[in-house]
Amino acid sequence: MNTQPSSVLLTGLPGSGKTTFIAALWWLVTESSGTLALKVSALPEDAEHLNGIMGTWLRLKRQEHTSAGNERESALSFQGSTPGEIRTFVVPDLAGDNVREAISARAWQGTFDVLVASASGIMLFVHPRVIHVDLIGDVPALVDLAANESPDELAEIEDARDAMESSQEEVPEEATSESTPAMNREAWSPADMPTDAQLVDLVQLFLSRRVGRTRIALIVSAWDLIAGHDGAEASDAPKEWLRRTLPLLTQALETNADDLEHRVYGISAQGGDFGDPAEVERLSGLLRPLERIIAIGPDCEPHDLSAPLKWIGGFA
Amino acid sequence: MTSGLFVELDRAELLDGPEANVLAGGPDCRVIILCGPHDAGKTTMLAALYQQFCRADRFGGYRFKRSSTVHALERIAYQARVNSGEDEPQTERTLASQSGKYAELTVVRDAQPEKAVHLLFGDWWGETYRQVRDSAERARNLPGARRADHLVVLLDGGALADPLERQAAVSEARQVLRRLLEAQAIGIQTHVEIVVTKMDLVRRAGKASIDFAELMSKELADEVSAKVASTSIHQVAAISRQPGMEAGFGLPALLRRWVEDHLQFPASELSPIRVTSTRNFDRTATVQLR
Repeated sequence: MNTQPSSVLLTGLPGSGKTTFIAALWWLVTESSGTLALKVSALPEDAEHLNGIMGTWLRLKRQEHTSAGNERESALSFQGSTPGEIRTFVVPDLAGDNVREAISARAWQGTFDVLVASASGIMLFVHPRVIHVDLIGDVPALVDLAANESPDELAEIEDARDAMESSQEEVPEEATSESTPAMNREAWSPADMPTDAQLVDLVQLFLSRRVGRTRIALIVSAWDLIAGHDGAEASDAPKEWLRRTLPLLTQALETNADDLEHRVYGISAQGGDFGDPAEVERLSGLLRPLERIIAIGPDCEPHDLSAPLKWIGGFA
Repeated sequence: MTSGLFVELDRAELLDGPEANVLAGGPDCRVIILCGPHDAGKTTMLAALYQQFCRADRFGGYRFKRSSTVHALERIAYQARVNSGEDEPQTERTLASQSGKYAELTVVRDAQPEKAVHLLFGDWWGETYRQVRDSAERARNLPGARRADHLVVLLDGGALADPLERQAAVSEARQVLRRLLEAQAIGIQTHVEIVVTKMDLVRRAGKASIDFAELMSKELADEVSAKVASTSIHQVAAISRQPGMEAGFGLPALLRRWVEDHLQFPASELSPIRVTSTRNFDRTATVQLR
């Protein structure tokens, strides 16, 4: 029996869906009677944080933004499918703000570094609604999800687009002359990088701090925005979405097989937009919370959020 | 999770000489020096090349593997994006203070994904370019020259499209090449690419400009071909404003040239390279770019 605690690093840029994933996973592994890759073998000593975020999830409310001040970690003991196969995972709920700051500052906290270096693997979250694309000759844009957005969500995307476009328009004519460096000579910051480049930078940083081959589960959260509510797509659909949407990251994951092994999952832990009354009504009408959950990927049952953990943990 | 000391992480900015040496000492590294007059389009071309890998999951038969200078590449790409609507895109000054530094892009071949090729890009921009033309001493002491696998001489398409500027642009390139050969800064170890940039502007100017660009490129290549490893002629449009000419025009052939045309010289034949340690690891790490 292996009871040695190990950890899995759940990380991503701000708003990428980490906390919602943990909340739904906690409900799933403790209360669901469905077929799961992993189940909890015993309740943790301290489950206050897990139960708190689970309650928010069950009430169809948005999770509080995880900031540096309210980061938590929880230890979960999982039972694999093989009798006696029990492992304890430390699942930290970390602030995406810290990750973004580290990309700019080229430093992160020692405690985080220990986690990066020692984790069994990495779950890297990407939210399809907050992907920033910016290529030469194109108007900077968020990835177009208009076909699947509610009116409120469309307005949010339009606002974001307007903000980016107006920032381009505000470049004064003289900014291109030698004597005016301020706007377009000095204003660039790593925070302005497209999401694709930020995630490549992040993966490279992780690999630079680790020894051996790293398992990376790329989690495309809010998968219902892409697949629709039924989520009925092939298991390689998230991988193909990633290829189309984040091509630089796709290449970095696929061409560094010596250093990493990766899988791509499409996950909808929330099930819909809590800001849309019609969605809330639909979700609240479901008989079981399990029906809100979509999980697509390799060796993954339709609602099983634990599949990426099972793979990273090397469970049989 | 919020306490504790901070751990410093790898930079993602341009590599300085010693950092570049670690890669340059290896067999699968190509040192590529981009040289040309101010605003010829050197960094715009580099930004556009990098961005091709951001547009799709492969480009010209190659795939992105990694870059230790992601921030530097993104910075120049940002600059190119900001200026892409202008008639004269300006990204040159972004790297103005970075002379002697290198951007890195590591790629793999689509058909040979296990073998990485490191591309190290240095540049001699405007003022240095003029100094090389004017001074033998400057030509003898250029950073990275003798280690360069590829010397990319850029002919500013904007100048070639201007009847009042084009002769001076070609003359300058001719003199720079001659200086570099006489100073033995380049030689039989060096592949030379003559690249006409901003080809969209050349085409827009008409057939006379197109013919002039083709003829002058060929003449320049012919003049040095017997004294260098090989020569090739390219036309590129990193940012195209010409219908029918897509952004990144000409870059696949240039990338293929940089990756595939490579002479493997023993270090002893590259006389200016100094090895300052006898330990194998350090020999790799301390080969000096000159």
